[in-house]
Amino acid sequence: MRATFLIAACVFLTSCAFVRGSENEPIDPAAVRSLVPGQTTAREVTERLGAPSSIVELGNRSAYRYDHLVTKGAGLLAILVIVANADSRADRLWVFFDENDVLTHYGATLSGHRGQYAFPWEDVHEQEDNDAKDAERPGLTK
Amino acid sequence: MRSLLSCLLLLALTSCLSMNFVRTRFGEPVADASIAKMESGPQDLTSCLAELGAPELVWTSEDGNMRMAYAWSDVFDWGFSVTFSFNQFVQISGALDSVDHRVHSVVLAFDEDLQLVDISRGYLWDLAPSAQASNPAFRLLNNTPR
Repeated sequence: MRATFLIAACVFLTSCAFVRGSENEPIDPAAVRSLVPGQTTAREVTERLGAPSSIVELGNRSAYRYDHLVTKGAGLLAILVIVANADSRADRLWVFFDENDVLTHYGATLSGHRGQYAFPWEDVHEQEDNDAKDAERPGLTK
Repeated sequence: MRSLLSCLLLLALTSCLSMNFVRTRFGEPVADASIAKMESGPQDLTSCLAELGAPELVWTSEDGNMRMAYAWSDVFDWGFSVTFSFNQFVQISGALDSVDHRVHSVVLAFDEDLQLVDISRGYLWDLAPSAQASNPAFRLLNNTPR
């Protein structure tokens, strides 16, 4: 009887925790689609997207980085054991300019919205989950 | 057995003994199919960005080539700690933690004409030792890769 009580106490005297953190603003998919290599200038990029988080010099060329990081954490706090998971995803955009500050290339990964509150044993990279979350984000699909 | 269980429970109830299992995931892995496509024929910066999206890092290496790193991590840490107070002035504690801060990566190298010349796979710590300081993946993992 006493052992049963102790086991029950260990099982039920638990609590859950959910945390969410983010850095910078999400990248606007429409602003990304408006970029035109060979035409858009660095000034126009900063007018549309704001100040980059970092700038890299690449010889005569340069590249600006934009990013938005989202971390979602979930934890189960039992008496004796703490089980937790953190899932971080990012919106990230790199824009490359020539020596005249004209856009030559850009690459975007918009997945900041894909983060999940999950436990360590759960798969957070399933394609159907990503597709469902992509469909919920305004402006992501053309 | 019963006394051992009682001791463990007493320590646990007073927060003197705890165990933790924490999984930390950052980013999304680069698909093998994407790498195979990159390796299947000549590629340039445009096609690489279209296939893989935005990299985590961009830098110029010592050989003058531009390099881009795609990075992600999936680490499972565990540990336990024990704390015991003898009185209001004396307390002892101990902790043991398993910490894995390795960040997986795919690094692409481009020549002056921005043609893809090399693809490397491995830990970011090994492939981009000079470029890691600004990497959020390292920052997220306490900036202490092994």
